Amino acid sequence: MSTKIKAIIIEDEIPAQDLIKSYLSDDNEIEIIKVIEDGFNGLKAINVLNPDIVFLDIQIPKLTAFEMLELIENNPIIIFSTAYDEYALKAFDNNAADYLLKPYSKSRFKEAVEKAKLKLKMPRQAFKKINELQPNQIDRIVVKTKDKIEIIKSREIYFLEADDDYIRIHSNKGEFLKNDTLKKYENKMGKDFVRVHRSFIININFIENISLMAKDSYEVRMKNNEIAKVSKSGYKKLKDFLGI
Amino acid sequence: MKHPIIDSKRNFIYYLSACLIISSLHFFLISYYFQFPFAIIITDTLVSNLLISVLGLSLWFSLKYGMGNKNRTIFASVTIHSVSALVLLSLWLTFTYFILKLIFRDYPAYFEFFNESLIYRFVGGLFLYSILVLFYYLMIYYENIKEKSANENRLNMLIKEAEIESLKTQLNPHFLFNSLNSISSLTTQKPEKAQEMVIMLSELLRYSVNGSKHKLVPLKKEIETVKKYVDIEKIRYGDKLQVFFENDEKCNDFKLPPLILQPLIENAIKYSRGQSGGNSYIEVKINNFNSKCKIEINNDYDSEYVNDAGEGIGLKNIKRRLEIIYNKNFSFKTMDNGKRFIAEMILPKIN
Repeated sequence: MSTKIKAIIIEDEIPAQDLIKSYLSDDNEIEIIKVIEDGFNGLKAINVLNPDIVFLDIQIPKLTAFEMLELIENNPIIIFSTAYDEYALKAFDNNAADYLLKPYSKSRFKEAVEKAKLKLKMPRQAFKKINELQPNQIDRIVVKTKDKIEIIKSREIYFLEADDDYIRIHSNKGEFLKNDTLKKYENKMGKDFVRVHRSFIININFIENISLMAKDSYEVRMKNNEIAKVSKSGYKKLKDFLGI
Repeated sequence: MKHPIIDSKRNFIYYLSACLIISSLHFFLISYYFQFPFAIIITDTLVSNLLISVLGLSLWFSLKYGMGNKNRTIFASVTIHSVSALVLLSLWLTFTYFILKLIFRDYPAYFEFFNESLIYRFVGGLFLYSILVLFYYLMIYYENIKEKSANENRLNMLIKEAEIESLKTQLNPHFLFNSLNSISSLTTQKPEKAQEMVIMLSELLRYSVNGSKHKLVPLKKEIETVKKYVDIEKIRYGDKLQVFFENDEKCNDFKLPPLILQPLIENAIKYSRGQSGGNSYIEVKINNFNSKCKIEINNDYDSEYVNDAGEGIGLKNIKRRLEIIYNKNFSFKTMDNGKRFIAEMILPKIN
């Protein structure tokens, strides 16, 4: 039974992978157990192999680093790297041990590794959800079901419904729950989505009809026959959006 | 502004001709209605018309001088012109009278005639004055229009230059820093490859930096550069990246803006990287097509993973740059069949 620190590299460029391996070659405490080349497999690897440290490049194919981190079930120490977007990295501040700007020297790398080792010795803080800094445009939502990872494109979504700490995604692929807030998606999903109520963001392409319920409160029937509530201000917003 | 008559040979000849015609008219009218000796009528004609011609030419200067005040109402203008006409014509008639008096002091019958004809001379003079003033105004107006148009052209040129500058693409910083990181890695693992990559990268950079000095480069050069770019990317991604070039030599001399193809290929690589298994297959096809050059770049991709956000800007930029150079004489479109994304450009030959 190895007591070495388990590390995973999530990086899709071969020379960059080789560089990390070579920088770690003289570190006896750390063992690289897997090298992954995309966010999808990265998610699986973190959840299944439960590494202690993850070397994560922000620019990875398939799932983005953001999307992957939303869905991990374990809590590894993460060392981020990026070629350019220094500012995107600040968003991870709460969760990162360190971040590396490419190209980085061996000594800079060692510094990051030492920080990570220190963090490992301390009681692990819960992984903080990155809610604020998201890309300006969200055109898909990634969720985890019991069996698989589901990628739901915006154009497949009928509406989003708030449900305590979760949001319920109503789509043509089915209904999914995600540990998130509606606020994160408000105004970021493009010209087809309107927040019509404290608890509802709807896709105007799937509106079947809008009806008045009580004074100043409306309801939208969506094409899948489900109802979304519309508040007074939401109704005004909806009218402006639809141009009626 | 130059004098529209004195400074223009053509106009001067017209003016002279007009004076001659008016003089002739003057001569024949007097001859017809009065029985004066030829010499007298000729002298009258010559003196009157010479004086009014000269005064007519000098009218331009007082007109130009008085043009300064743009806020004048029409009423004010008319008043001023009436006064000036009065003054000028009075001057003319007075001078004419005194000169003729000097010449014909012994000929009282003539002066009777002169006094009677004063009103006709005045009206005739007013008529000529009006026409001349109109002509001068027309010249000024025409000159203003020419100047405005020249200014507009100059401004448009400046705007175009500025736009070309702002749209010039630079190499993506992500690409640069990632490449440097790759080189850093290769120095320990495969030093010869590291050196190769340093040279390729610096050649690419040089093209990017120099490219901004030229509006157009030959397609051959752009392809060479793109191939270097692809070689660098191949070092980063290994066998997973396959790029296939099909080139038509007839298109080699076609001119196009620099760094138009490279961002398209960069896009193609980026969007194809999300494939299952991570293999990307990209095609760059160049064909001569009805003496135009057709360039097609297509890539495979996995629609499951592709992230549409933020895609449009790069393509809009390219389209705009092509518009500036080719106006409407080009085509650029993208097609997507769910499995392959195709960008197609058709460019004309420019000399």
